[in-house]
Amino acid sequence: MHRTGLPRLLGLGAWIILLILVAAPLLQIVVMALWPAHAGVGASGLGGALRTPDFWSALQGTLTLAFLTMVFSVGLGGGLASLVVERPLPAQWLWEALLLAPFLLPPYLTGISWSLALQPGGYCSQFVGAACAPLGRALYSLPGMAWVMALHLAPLTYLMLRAALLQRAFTPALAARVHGAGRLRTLILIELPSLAPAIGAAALLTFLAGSEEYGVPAVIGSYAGINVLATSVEGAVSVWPIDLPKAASLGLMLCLLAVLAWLTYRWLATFDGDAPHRQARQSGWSAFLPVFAFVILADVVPIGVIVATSLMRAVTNGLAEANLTWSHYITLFTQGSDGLQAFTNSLWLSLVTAAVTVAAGLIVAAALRRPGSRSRGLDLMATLPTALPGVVVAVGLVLFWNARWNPVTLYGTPLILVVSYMTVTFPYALRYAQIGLAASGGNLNAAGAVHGAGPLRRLVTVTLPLAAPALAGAASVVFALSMRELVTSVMLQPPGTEVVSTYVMNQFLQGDVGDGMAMAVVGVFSSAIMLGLARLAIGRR
Amino acid sequence: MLKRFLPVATAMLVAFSLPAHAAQTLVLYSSGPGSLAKALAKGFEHSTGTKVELYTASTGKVVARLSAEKGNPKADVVILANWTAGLALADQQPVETFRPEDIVKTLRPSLDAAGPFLPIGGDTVSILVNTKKVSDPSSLTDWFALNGKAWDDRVTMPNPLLSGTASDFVLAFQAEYGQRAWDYFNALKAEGTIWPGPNAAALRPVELGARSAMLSAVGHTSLKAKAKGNALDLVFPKTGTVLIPRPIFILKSAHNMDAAKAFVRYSMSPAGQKLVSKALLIPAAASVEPAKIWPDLSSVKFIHADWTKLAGERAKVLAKFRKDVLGQ
Repeated sequence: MHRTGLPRLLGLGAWIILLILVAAPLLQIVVMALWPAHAGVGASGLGGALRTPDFWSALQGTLTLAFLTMVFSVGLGGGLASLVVERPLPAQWLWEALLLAPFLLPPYLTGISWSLALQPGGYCSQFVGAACAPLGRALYSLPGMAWVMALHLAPLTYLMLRAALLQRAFTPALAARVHGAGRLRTLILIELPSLAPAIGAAALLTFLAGSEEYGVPAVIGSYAGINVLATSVEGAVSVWPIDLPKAASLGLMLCLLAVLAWLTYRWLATFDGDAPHRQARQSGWSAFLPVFAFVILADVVPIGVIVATSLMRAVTNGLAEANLTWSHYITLFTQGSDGLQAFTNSLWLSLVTAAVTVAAGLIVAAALRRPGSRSRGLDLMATLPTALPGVVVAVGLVLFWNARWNPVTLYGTPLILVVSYMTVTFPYALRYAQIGLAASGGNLNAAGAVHGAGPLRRLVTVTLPLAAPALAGAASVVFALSMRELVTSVMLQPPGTEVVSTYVMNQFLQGDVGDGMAMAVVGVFSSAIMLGLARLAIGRR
Repeated sequence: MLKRFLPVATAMLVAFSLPAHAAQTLVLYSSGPGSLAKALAKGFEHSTGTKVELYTASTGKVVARLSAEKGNPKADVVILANWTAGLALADQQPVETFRPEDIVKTLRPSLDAAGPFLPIGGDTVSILVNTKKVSDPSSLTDWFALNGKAWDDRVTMPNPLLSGTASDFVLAFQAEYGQRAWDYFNALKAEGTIWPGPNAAALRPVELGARSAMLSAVGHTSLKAKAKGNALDLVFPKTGTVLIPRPIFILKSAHNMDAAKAFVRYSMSPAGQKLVSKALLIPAAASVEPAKIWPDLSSVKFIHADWTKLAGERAKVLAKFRKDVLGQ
């Protein structure tokens, strides 16, 4: 009973989780796109949406942004990972923290700070002068936006590729070298294929992140007149008269992109990892300059700009002593403590999301390890939310959780935010859970099985302990993503429940950049502290 | 692992089935300024004990949200930034007619527009200039002054699809000048004008000096930025601008009609209207003065706008603007 019961339960659980998180909202969107009249909206649906003048330019914008984001992020993250793995820097923990820190900045915030820095009249021209004009022009373009995205995503690709580099088997490469293969040949025949799944996974995730990104195009693209699908969807949803069928149709196009990317990923990921071997490396300073440059661009400049703005009375008057003030922070923590309330809301929503999403990710990852065509369907469904723009997830969730036939109307309660955060962060939790389960390997599990341990016992005594570091990583990533989630928060925010991102954005829209940036500072630094504590706890164990 | 997960799942299920709202709450959806909505909510909570749950966003987003929730409305009371959005919304879903005589007679006549609801206040639009970039603001005597080579890549305007006041400006402007207005918008587009978002988003480049002037800048946002010490000035074209009333209304679906009416009454009371003034809007009550930072409004020329007629054109004109000017 045990031998067949647990996998079946896992499979059932995985399907239920994905049906609720992904299929239900997606189905609502498909219905809305294909049969808008059916949904009670007198609009033209998919066909009409494809004929709107901005569709093709938006599609082109999305493809370019996603591709450039992928290239920049994998290049940056992979380069940093290989440098640091080959020759760790002294005080590695410090560099590690600095390399991961950019992930804490929501991309829209990175975009805001770079535009505050580089736009005409911005900090760069206040300090450096006219030399900044070309940089400013470069920022307000698709490559500029992709660069901002890559600065933000590089920590993710760095983590994934570093994990792959650390876990790769050294014996095949060693064997190849012993048998006379050159460095290059070993690299091409042995090392790269063994890394291909990780590189493919990283490319997949960053491509999808680039294609669904709303914040950066909203912040930078709006000033450059560049449209991508995500902002078009948001426009179709947030602007009266709303055009839900158009939003749903454009969202479907993004799903198509996701399926294509996913198929590519399957094609790349045909190699199985071996049991991890670790080899102690000597530390040295050879990686210093590239890592330092990255830290300047991804940490110092964006965070510096945000902190400076949060301390400034009037933005135009620059960094003069008379222009400095603590008032934004005082406003944040006293003025009816709206800011404090928003911050607390974000904190508990993100904690709940992290716990539930990691559990859900683990169940689905475990179910996915069963071979067969059904796990393909599961994998597709688990990958889809990455490609769904948050704004479309939000539309789907509104349609589903506010439907008259649905007895549980989560919409209008803070829990809808947990559900949306779960949907949006799920692929990340799943990938980490998969890495964790892969790390717990076939060999030990098989050994357990041979010696008579049932699936449940193997899970608890072998798999989970080995997967724990990856799961803790998953929890911290989900937490960080939830703390900064922008689009679904804006769209689904129940009345009375502000969170950090909506507070920052509202202050931003109300024209009080200083208050918004003060909250951004508090939000980002508290996420950093939480993540730091989590890492410390893992390290001590 | 299932054993570990089960308590979590149970807890989630219990949490999911909890009722959404406590009994005595009022849901308020409001356009900016968010500070006003918050102050009104706090004041009302203080005086009645009824808790107010608040959602604030730009007009385009508030109306979109109301329209998305039409099947299952959440809001009780709505405050919008412009009159035609209120009229158009009242056309789409049932709005409670609420114009008690005792309040109507206190209204500033210039803000008392036709409709089933009351104005909570009003605002106007100007050309906002960065005085470090524009040496002679007084030379901008009419709306069409931002045209020509000298203004290439120097102008911003709030996106009328998002900003309520900008949408009413566009409506009134094209009604007044016809094709000349559309030619002007296209000329602005050709010279690199941007429409980056609602008022604050359009104001920021001007505040920073990246852009020199902002067309259709709403009063309270401009004045707030100016009051902070930024090098900004408001220019009211001599040919006349528009005074835009901001509606406050109750949805027929309101869960607690008495509380909703009490909230509107509170907002229209001297205490509520003082908050409106403090938020740098023009109070609807004639007895409450606009904030001191406002220029003397009697010296500003306002053109007449037939909001009822313009509300009928709203969807068409905004669709044209979206397609021809924004290219969407």
